[in-house]
Order: sequence, then C-alpha cells, then structure tokens
Amino acid sequence: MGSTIIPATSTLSAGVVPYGFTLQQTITSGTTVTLPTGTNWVYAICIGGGGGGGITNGNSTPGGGGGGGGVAFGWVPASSTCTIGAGGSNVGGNGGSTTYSILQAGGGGGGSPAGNPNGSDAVGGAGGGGAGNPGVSTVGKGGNGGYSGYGTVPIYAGALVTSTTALNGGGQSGVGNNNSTATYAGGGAGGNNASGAAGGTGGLSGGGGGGNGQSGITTNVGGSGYFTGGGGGAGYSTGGGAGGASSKYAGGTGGGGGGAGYLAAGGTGVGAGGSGGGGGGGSGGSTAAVGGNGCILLYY
Amino acid sequence: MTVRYEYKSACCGHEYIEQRGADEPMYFPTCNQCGNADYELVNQTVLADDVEVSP
Repeated sequence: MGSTIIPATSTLSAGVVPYGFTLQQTITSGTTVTLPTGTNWVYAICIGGGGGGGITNGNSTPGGGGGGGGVAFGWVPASSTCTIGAGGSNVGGNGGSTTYSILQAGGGGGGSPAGNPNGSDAVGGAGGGGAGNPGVSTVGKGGNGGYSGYGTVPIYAGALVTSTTALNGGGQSGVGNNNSTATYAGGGAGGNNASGAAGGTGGLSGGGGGGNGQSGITTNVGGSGYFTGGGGGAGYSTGGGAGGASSKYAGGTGGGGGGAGYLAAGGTGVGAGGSGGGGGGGSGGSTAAVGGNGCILLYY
Repeated sequence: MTVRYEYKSACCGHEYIEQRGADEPMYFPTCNQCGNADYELVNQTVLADDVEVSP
C-alpha cells in the first residue's frame, strides 16, 4: 500500500508550522543560538530578508515592490550559530539569506531600481516587481522567484510583460523540490504602462507588485504568501498598490505599501516590509522602502 | 544591540525565548503553550556577538 509523503500543494503552506509543537524561540538578531542541554535536533523555520522596493527613474518608471523573503524549514541538527538575513536596501536591493544548521532561506528579490526596468530575480525568495513606463509597451519584467533548501529546479519564472494590457506578470508559486526544506516563491510581477501587474501569490512568499505608468492605478499590489508578502508597486505620480499580506499580518495600505512579514505588518505608503521577511514598497520618487529583516523560529 | 530575553508564562509556566534587537517589540507576548496569559520577563542578556560583517 502506498503512502503519501508529499502533502498536496494546497495544504503544505499551513503544514509548515508543526501542529502540536510549541514555539520555543524567535530569533531576529545576533549570530549565536543557545539551546537547552541535551537538545540534539530542532524543527527550524528560516525566513530570509524581504527585498527592497525600487525607486523611480525621473518619475517615468515607477519602481516595483520587493519580493517576500524565502522560507526553508525542517528537522535539523542543533546548531549554536545562525545568520539573520537583512532586508534589502531602499534602492531595490535583494534581501539577505537566513541560515541555521543545514537550512538556508534566500532573500526576496528587489524591486526595479532606476536604470533597470526589470525586477530582481530572487535567490530563494519571491521575485521583485518590474518597472512601469508610461507610453511604452515593453516594460520591465518581474523578477524570477527563486528556490530554496536543496532544491535544484528553479521555481516558475516571472513573465516578461510586453503588452499594454494589464497582466499578472509574476509566476505563481511552485514547489522547489520534494524534500522537507522545499519552499514556494511567487514570482515578481512585471510592470505595465496601462495598469500595474500584481505580484505572484499563493505560496509561502509573495512577489513584489510591478510599478505602473499611469496615475491612480492601484492594481499593482504585492503578492500574499503564508509567511511573507511582497511590497506593492508604485504608481506614476499618484496611486500604486498595497502590500501583500502574510497569514498573520496585513500588508501596508497606500501606493507602494510594504509587504507583511511573519512577525509584523507592512508599512503604509512606500512602506517598509514587515519584520520577518516582508518586501519593501516601491516608490514613484527617489526613495523607496527597505525590506523587513528575516527571522528564525525554533521548535523542540 | 542584540538582547536575549527569557520569559515564563504566568499560566502554565512555559519558558520562551526571544532574541532580538533592543529596539524591537516583543513578537509573541502571549503564551505559545496554552494562550491563557502573557509572558513575564525573567532574565535578559546582552549578547556580545552583535557585530556587522561585510559581505
């Protein structure tokens, strides 16, 4: 009789948090971990830093939002050291990786910065949003969602947006590999000159929304994820999308709202990503928002 | 500055640790074991490993 080893996609997200186990430690800073004597194995959830939001290029290419930090999880040998991934910078920097024992969760991709219309590809997290550009049909593509843990197969790529029609440029979430540290990552959404595209959603990490080239557009929201949401994309002059939610917190409202992290909500209006891996919001100005720092959750 | 905060819940006595920056709020103030009361701080330690490392 066969048995099901890999949970269905629709239930794996919630199942990442071990049922019946009690959270013993939350780590958002430092490089050392202290465990009770005799603790040999722990169940760890690592969340990478969120990507930073992108800035504008003379207000003609509003920046995309940063992608949510990636997630890696599983039973691992106890370790006394760790690394907490920093949130990406406010000029579209990628988030840093969070590591513990044999786990590594990549950061989210940065939103499109000035001079580069394409959102950044993520290494383990969700992709950043591309830039919008008024009057131009070919605009920046969303960054590719990454893969995590020991996965060798990249997750769905963000689509190249080449139309004036509003598109969801980001790839939807996909599983990276069939082991316990596999993660999901929604691809970042490409910008569009008519209507900003939403970030990829539905997995553990949400992609950043693309910048849009029209005033008042609010459809370029960040993607939501079970652990991390992507930042919203900026609008041209006015508008822009809200940040994506996590399962515990809401994304920030207003144009370029910050994505929620697993530990805190996203900031409002060109807002910082929430602590625990939220992506930063994009900006129609010269300063966007930083991504939220990553974290480690320990159960034993 | 990184601080290791050690808590104990007033309800079931669950011991819980948050290691975070001194300027960060507590992320899980309510008992993770039974949820019937908030945690109470029993000890805090400033860690010496909080250094910035260049990429």
